Amino acid sequence: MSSERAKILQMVAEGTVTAEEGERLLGRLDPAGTTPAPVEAELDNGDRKSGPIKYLRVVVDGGDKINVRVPIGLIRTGIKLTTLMPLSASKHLSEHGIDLSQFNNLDGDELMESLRELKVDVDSGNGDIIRVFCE
Amino acid sequence: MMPTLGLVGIPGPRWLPPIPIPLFLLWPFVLVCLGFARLLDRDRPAEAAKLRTAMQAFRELRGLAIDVDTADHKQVRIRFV
Repeated sequence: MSSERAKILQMVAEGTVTAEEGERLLGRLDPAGTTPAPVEAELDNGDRKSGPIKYLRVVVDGGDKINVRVPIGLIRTGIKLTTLMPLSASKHLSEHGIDLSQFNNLDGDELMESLRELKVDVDSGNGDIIRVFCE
Repeated sequence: MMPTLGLVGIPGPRWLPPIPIPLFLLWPFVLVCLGFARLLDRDRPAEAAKLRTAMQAFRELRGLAIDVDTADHKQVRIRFV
Protein backbone atom coordinates (compact mmCIF):
# COMPACT_ATOMS: atom_id res chain seq x y z
CA MET A 1 0.00 0.00 0.00
CA SER A 2 1.37 3.41 -0.90
CA SER A 3 1.91 6.09 1.75
CA GLU A 4 -0.68 8.37 0.10
CA ARG A 5 -3.32 5.67 0.24
CA ALA A 6 -2.49 4.90 3.88
CA LYS A 7 -2.67 8.57 4.75
CA ILE A 8 -6.11 8.96 3.17
CA LEU A 9 -7.41 5.89 4.98
CA GLN A 10 -6.02 7.25 8.23
CA MET A 11 -7.77 10.59 7.63
CA VAL A 12 -11.05 8.73 7.03
CA ALA A 13 -10.52 6.72 10.20
CA GLU A 14 -9.80 9.86 12.23
CA GLY A 15 -12.83 11.59 10.78
CA THR A 16 -10.75 14.36 9.19
CA VAL A 17 -12.47 13.63 5.87
CA THR A 18 -15.73 11.87 5.18
CA ALA A 19 -15.87 8.40 3.63
CA GLU A 20 -17.11 9.89 0.34
CA GLU A 21 -14.22 12.35 0.23
CA GLY A 22 -11.82 9.56 1.06
CA GLU A 23 -13.22 7.46 -1.78
CA ARG A 24 -12.87 10.38 -4.17
CA LEU A 25 -9.28 10.95 -3.08
CA LEU A 26 -8.47 7.27 -3.51
CA GLY A 27 -10.04 7.41 -6.94
CA ARG A 28 -7.69 10.20 -7.87
CA LEU A 29 -4.77 8.04 -6.88
CA ASP A 30 -5.79 5.22 -9.19
CA PRO A 31 -4.64 6.85 -12.44
CA ALA A 32 -1.18 7.07 -10.92
CA GLY A 33 -1.01 3.34 -10.99
CA THR A 34 -1.75 2.33 -7.42
CA THR A 35 -4.49 0.01 -8.64
CA PRO A 36 -3.23 -2.96 -10.63
CA ALA A 37 -3.92 -2.62 -14.32
CA PRO A 38 -6.25 -5.27 -15.77
CA VAL A 39 -3.36 -7.11 -17.36
CA GLU A 40 -1.40 -7.16 -14.14
CA ALA A 41 -4.47 -8.34 -12.27
CA GLU A 42 -4.83 -11.12 -14.79
CA LEU A 43 -1.22 -12.08 -14.27
CA ASP A 44 -1.80 -12.23 -10.54
CA ASN A 45 -4.48 -14.81 -11.19
CA GLY A 46 -1.93 -16.99 -12.94
CA ASP A 47 -3.37 -16.49 -16.40
CA ARG A 48 -0.15 -15.14 -17.77
CA LYS A 49 0.04 -15.63 -21.52
CA SER A 50 3.71 -15.47 -22.15
CA GLY A 51 6.13 -17.47 -24.21
CA PRO A 52 5.61 -18.87 -27.65
CA ILE A 53 2.40 -20.66 -28.47
CA LYS A 54 2.89 -24.22 -29.63
CA TYR A 55 -0.47 -25.65 -30.58
CA LEU A 56 -3.82 -24.66 -31.95
CA ARG A 57 -6.45 -26.64 -30.10
CA VAL A 58 -9.93 -27.45 -31.31
CA VAL A 59 -12.10 -29.12 -28.70
CA VAL A 60 -15.65 -30.24 -29.40
CA ASP A 61 -17.73 -31.56 -26.54
CA GLY A 62 -21.30 -32.73 -26.55
CA GLY A 63 -22.55 -35.65 -28.61
CA ASP A 64 -19.25 -36.37 -30.33
CA LYS A 65 -16.02 -35.53 -28.60
CA ILE A 66 -13.25 -34.26 -30.81
CA ASN A 67 -9.88 -33.10 -29.64
CA VAL A 68 -7.47 -31.76 -32.25
CA ARG A 69 -4.02 -30.41 -31.56
CA VAL A 70 -2.30 -28.77 -34.50
CA PRO A 71 1.32 -27.64 -34.21
CA ILE A 72 1.65 -23.94 -34.89
CA GLY A 73 4.52 -24.65 -37.26
CA LEU A 74 2.18 -26.67 -39.42
CA ILE A 75 -0.25 -23.76 -39.61
CA ARG A 76 2.54 -21.37 -40.52
CA THR A 77 3.69 -23.68 -43.28
CA GLY A 78 0.17 -24.62 -44.23
CA ILE A 79 -0.63 -21.05 -45.10
CA LYS A 80 2.18 -21.09 -47.59
CA LEU A 81 0.69 -24.25 -49.04
CA THR A 82 -2.11 -22.17 -50.50
CA THR A 83 0.40 -21.33 -53.20
CA LEU A 84 0.24 -24.98 -54.24
CA MET A 85 -3.45 -24.70 -54.97
CA PRO A 86 -4.26 -25.08 -58.67
CA LEU A 87 -5.17 -21.87 -60.45
CA SER A 88 -8.57 -23.25 -61.41
CA ALA A 89 -9.39 -23.96 -57.76
CA SER A 90 -8.32 -20.45 -56.75
CA LYS A 91 -10.56 -18.99 -59.44
CA HIS A 92 -13.47 -21.10 -58.26
CA LEU A 93 -12.98 -19.91 -54.69
CA SER A 94 -12.69 -16.28 -55.74
CA GLU A 95 -16.06 -16.60 -57.48
CA HIS A 96 -17.45 -17.32 -54.03
CA GLY A 97 -15.65 -14.37 -52.51
CA ILE A 98 -12.83 -16.37 -50.91
CA ASP A 99 -9.39 -14.99 -51.58
CA LEU A 100 -6.75 -17.23 -50.04
CA SER A 101 -3.95 -15.15 -51.47
CA GLN A 102 -4.49 -12.77 -48.56
CA PHE A 103 -2.92 -15.37 -46.30
CA ASN A 104 0.37 -15.00 -48.13
CA ASN A 105 0.58 -11.40 -46.97
CA LEU A 106 0.46 -12.40 -43.33
CA ASP A 107 3.71 -11.88 -41.54
CA GLY A 108 4.79 -14.81 -39.36
CA ASP A 109 5.04 -12.80 -36.13
CA GLU A 110 1.81 -10.96 -36.85
CA LEU A 111 0.06 -14.27 -37.33
CA MET A 112 1.45 -15.65 -34.09
CA GLU A 113 0.29 -12.59 -32.16
CA SER A 114 -3.16 -12.89 -33.68
CA LEU A 115 -3.35 -16.57 -32.86
CA ARG A 116 -2.25 -15.92 -29.29
CA GLU A 117 -5.40 -13.90 -28.75
CA LEU A 118 -7.61 -16.33 -30.63
CA LYS A 119 -10.39 -17.72 -28.53
CA VAL A 120 -13.62 -19.05 -29.93
CA ASP A 121 -16.33 -20.51 -27.70
CA VAL A 122 -19.49 -21.82 -29.29
CA ASP A 123 -22.42 -23.31 -27.38
CA SER A 124 -24.67 -24.64 -30.09
CA GLY A 125 -28.35 -25.31 -29.77
CA ASN A 126 -27.92 -29.07 -30.04
CA GLY A 127 -25.66 -29.13 -26.99
CA ASP A 128 -22.30 -29.14 -28.69
CA ILE A 129 -19.63 -26.97 -27.13
CA ILE A 130 -16.82 -25.93 -29.43
CA ARG A 131 -13.69 -24.24 -28.24
CA VAL A 132 -10.81 -23.03 -30.39
CA PHE A 133 -7.75 -21.61 -28.73
CA CYS A 134 -3.97 -21.63 -28.74
CA GLU A 135 -1.69 -22.90 -26.00
CA MET B 1 12.24 -32.18 -36.56
CA MET B 2 10.67 -34.70 -38.90
CA PRO B 3 7.98 -37.07 -37.64
CA THR B 4 9.15 -40.61 -36.96
CA LEU B 5 5.85 -42.42 -36.76
CA GLY B 6 2.22 -41.88 -37.49
CA LEU B 7 0.09 -43.79 -35.01
CA VAL B 8 -3.50 -44.68 -35.80
CA GLY B 9 -5.38 -46.32 -32.95
CA ILE B 10 -8.95 -47.52 -32.80
CA PRO B 11 -9.63 -48.28 -29.14
CA GLY B 12 -12.96 -49.56 -27.94
CA PRO B 13 -14.67 -52.86 -27.13
CA ARG B 14 -12.97 -54.48 -30.10
CA TRP B 15 -9.70 -52.79 -29.50
CA LEU B 16 -7.10 -52.62 -32.21
CA PRO B 17 -3.59 -51.68 -31.20
CA PRO B 18 -2.24 -48.45 -32.63
CA ILE B 19 -1.01 -49.03 -36.13
CA PRO B 20 2.38 -47.42 -36.58
CA ILE B 21 3.07 -45.86 -39.95
CA PRO B 22 6.81 -45.62 -40.36
CA LEU B 23 7.20 -42.06 -41.51
CA PHE B 24 10.94 -42.22 -41.02
CA LEU B 25 11.02 -44.27 -44.23
CA LEU B 26 10.02 -41.08 -46.01
CA TRP B 27 13.01 -39.16 -44.75
CA PRO B 28 15.20 -40.11 -47.75
CA PHE B 29 12.35 -39.01 -50.03
CA VAL B 30 12.27 -35.64 -48.30
CA LEU B 31 16.00 -35.23 -48.69
CA VAL B 32 15.76 -36.14 -52.39
CA CYS B 33 12.95 -33.61 -52.84
CA LEU B 34 15.03 -30.93 -51.16
CA GLY B 35 17.88 -31.85 -53.48
CA PHE B 36 15.56 -31.47 -56.46
CA ALA B 37 14.46 -28.12 -55.12
CA ARG B 38 18.05 -27.01 -55.03
CA LEU B 39 18.51 -28.10 -58.65
CA LEU B 40 15.31 -26.34 -59.68
CA ASP B 41 16.31 -23.12 -57.96
CA ARG B 42 18.10 -21.68 -60.97
CA ASP B 43 15.55 -22.37 -63.71
CA ARG B 44 12.25 -22.73 -61.87
CA PRO B 45 12.46 -20.95 -58.50
CA ALA B 46 8.69 -20.88 -57.98
CA GLU B 47 8.39 -24.65 -58.26
CA ALA B 48 11.44 -25.10 -56.05
CA ALA B 49 9.83 -22.93 -53.36
CA LYS B 50 6.62 -24.96 -53.55
CA LEU B 51 8.54 -28.19 -53.17
CA ARG B 52 10.36 -26.82 -50.15
CA THR B 53 7.08 -25.70 -48.60
CA ALA B 54 5.56 -29.14 -49.04
CA MET B 55 8.57 -30.75 -47.40
CA GLN B 56 8.43 -28.20 -44.59
CA ALA B 57 4.79 -29.10 -43.98
CA PHE B 58 5.81 -32.74 -43.66
CA ARG B 59 8.41 -31.81 -41.08
CA GLU B 60 5.86 -29.84 -39.06
CA LEU B 61 3.49 -32.79 -38.81
CA ARG B 62 5.23 -33.89 -35.65
CA GLY B 63 2.95 -33.16 -32.71
CA LEU B 64 -0.30 -33.27 -34.66
CA ALA B 65 -2.93 -35.16 -32.68
CA ILE B 66 -6.53 -35.92 -33.52
CA ASP B 67 -8.83 -37.69 -31.06
CA VAL B 68 -12.40 -38.48 -32.00
CA ASP B 69 -14.95 -40.10 -29.68
CA THR B 70 -18.29 -40.40 -31.41
CA ALA B 71 -21.62 -40.52 -29.63
CA ASP B 72 -22.01 -44.18 -30.62
CA HIS B 73 -18.77 -45.02 -28.80
CA LYS B 74 -16.46 -45.24 -31.76
CA GLN B 75 -13.02 -43.89 -31.14
CA VAL B 76 -10.14 -42.92 -33.36
CA ARG B 77 -6.74 -41.68 -32.30
CA ILE B 78 -4.22 -40.27 -34.71
CA ARG B 79 -0.79 -39.10 -33.56
CA PHE B 80 2.32 -37.97 -35.31
CA VAL B 81 5.37 -38.44 -33.14
